[in-house]
Amino acid sequence: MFKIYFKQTLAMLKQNRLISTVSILGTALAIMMIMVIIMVQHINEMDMAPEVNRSRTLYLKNYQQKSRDTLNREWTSGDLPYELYKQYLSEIKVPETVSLITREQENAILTIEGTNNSYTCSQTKTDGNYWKIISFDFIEGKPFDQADYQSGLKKAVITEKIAKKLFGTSAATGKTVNVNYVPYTITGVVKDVSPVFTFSQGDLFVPLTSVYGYKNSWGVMLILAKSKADFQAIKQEVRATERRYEANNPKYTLNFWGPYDHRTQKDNIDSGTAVDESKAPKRILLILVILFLVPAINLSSFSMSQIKKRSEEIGIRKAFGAKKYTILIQVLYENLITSLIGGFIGLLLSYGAIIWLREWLLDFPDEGSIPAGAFISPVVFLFVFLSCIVLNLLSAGIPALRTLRMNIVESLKRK
Amino acid sequence: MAIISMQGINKVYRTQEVETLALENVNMEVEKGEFLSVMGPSGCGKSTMLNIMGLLDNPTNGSVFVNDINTTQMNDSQLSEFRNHTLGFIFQSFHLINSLSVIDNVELPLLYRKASANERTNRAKEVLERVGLSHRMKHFPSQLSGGQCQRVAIARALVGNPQIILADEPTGNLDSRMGNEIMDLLFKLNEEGTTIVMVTHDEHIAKTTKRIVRFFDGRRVE
Repeated sequence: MFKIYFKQTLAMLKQNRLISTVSILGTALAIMMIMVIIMVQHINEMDMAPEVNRSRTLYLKNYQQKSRDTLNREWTSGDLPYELYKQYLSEIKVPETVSLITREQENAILTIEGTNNSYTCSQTKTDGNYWKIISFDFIEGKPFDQADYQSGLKKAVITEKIAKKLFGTSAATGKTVNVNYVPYTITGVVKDVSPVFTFSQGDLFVPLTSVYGYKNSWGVMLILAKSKADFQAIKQEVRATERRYEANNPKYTLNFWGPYDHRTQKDNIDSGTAVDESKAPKRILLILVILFLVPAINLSSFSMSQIKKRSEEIGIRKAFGAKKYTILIQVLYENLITSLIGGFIGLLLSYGAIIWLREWLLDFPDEGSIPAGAFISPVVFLFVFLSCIVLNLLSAGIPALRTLRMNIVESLKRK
Repeated sequence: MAIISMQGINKVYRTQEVETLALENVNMEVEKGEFLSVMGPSGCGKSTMLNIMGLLDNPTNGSVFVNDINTTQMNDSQLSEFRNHTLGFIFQSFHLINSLSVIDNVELPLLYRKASANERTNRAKEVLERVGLSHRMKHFPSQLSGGQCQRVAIARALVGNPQIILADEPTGNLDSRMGNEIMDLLFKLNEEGTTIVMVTHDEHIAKTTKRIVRFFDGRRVE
């Protein structure tokens, strides 16, 4: 039965090329807009190498400390200070592990002894636990560890790009590079990371404790939970550290904003206020509802006129024994084929839109590239398929139900 | 023995402004194996009567019995199934589905009997052979002449082995030669035992059938 419906759908598409093109394009544009939203969220949130633990990682970026003196309401806020992290957060028990990363505002200068060449690169200062949270692909050597970090040893991990610039095709591991004129030993080389990965991009990684004045630095705390189920317990433990601080510092109140999951931390850009964690999902849901409804309403009037043209055929089928639900399934199936064709085209268009508009949509420089895994993903394909079904039901289901109510004789009279 | 019995049938069409009495107190029986013609001027209600007899439309009042079963008690789904197994239809304007090939058009009734693809195809080929169109199986209705289209429609009406065929002006859109060919087919079917009820304007054709029933202004007059 479905084979005949499929043949009929292809025949009808060929017979009415202009109308078919309009219908497919309308669906394609709708799916394109929906998939741009879905894929941007997906790229920003999915577990993807090297950030393979996004789904079970919390992020704590900001804090605010306020005086309890009502006459003198002094307060400080900003990125998480190293000292606050070390004293109150580095030893929390519930997570699997925690790490602090800082990103130098200025680039570091790299030089090789005995050469005149110098290179600038972005520098990330972190600890040994970082490598347990972010899974880099080491093409040479290995990372520095927690013992190196605690000893403040001058060790470095560089990216492939920097290794080529410094050493050409020779191995870099074990060699010395001057970072801001201080010699560091290279322990490992990792594959370059796309700028889409906020917490793992960078050219050079060194232990935070190896840098002069590190105690005055600040950064972002990464909290790797054993599972998502522990998120609530981790947040409670962070609240408990606030209370512990306030017990030790009765003149002040302390708030850590967060910790937030990967999606919510993107909205955490203002150190003065907490993020409403329900805001982002509600916003996305609202946008998706609009993006489904608007084209569905437009396509439904189009579908209605197409189905009305087939009133005679519907009458014939009913005359020869088709039940209403059989015809409904046929109409939805045929429309689904058109929707899937439009969906496939829409998916390709959405890839094009994301690549073309990546700076605006994903907020990273033109020269960056989006990992292929973001496009070829079961989640993405599932969403396309579900979007096609929803659009199909909304645009064809209601017109089909209305036409089915028509009497057989009335249907046969329409041509 | 009556295979179809219509008792006290009234059909009223209501719009916001006007009420039209299309059929008034129609009583009629069709015997098994009969070839019955229904005649009358335009607008007399003969097609309306045929539609009700064929369970394509509901009477406002009255009952329709087919094989002694009161069909006016049936719901939509039951009527669909009953039509599929018991009745075949031939329309004046053929009513073929243009986006389906000849063989797919003919298979249509069997599609709704959940017959397998092989069964459908074999049976469709059989009836197309019978109406002399097996060489046009893969063609589309737009590629056929009027007479060929009507033969496809007859094949479709026959494919499910219905007991009753209802034909509404089957030769109305055909020239006399093609009309005669179609009538020959129908006569052959009737000889084989199929009950046929045919609406026609053509007195000459009607006289060749076993019995004529006449309608005028929604009432049976003869």
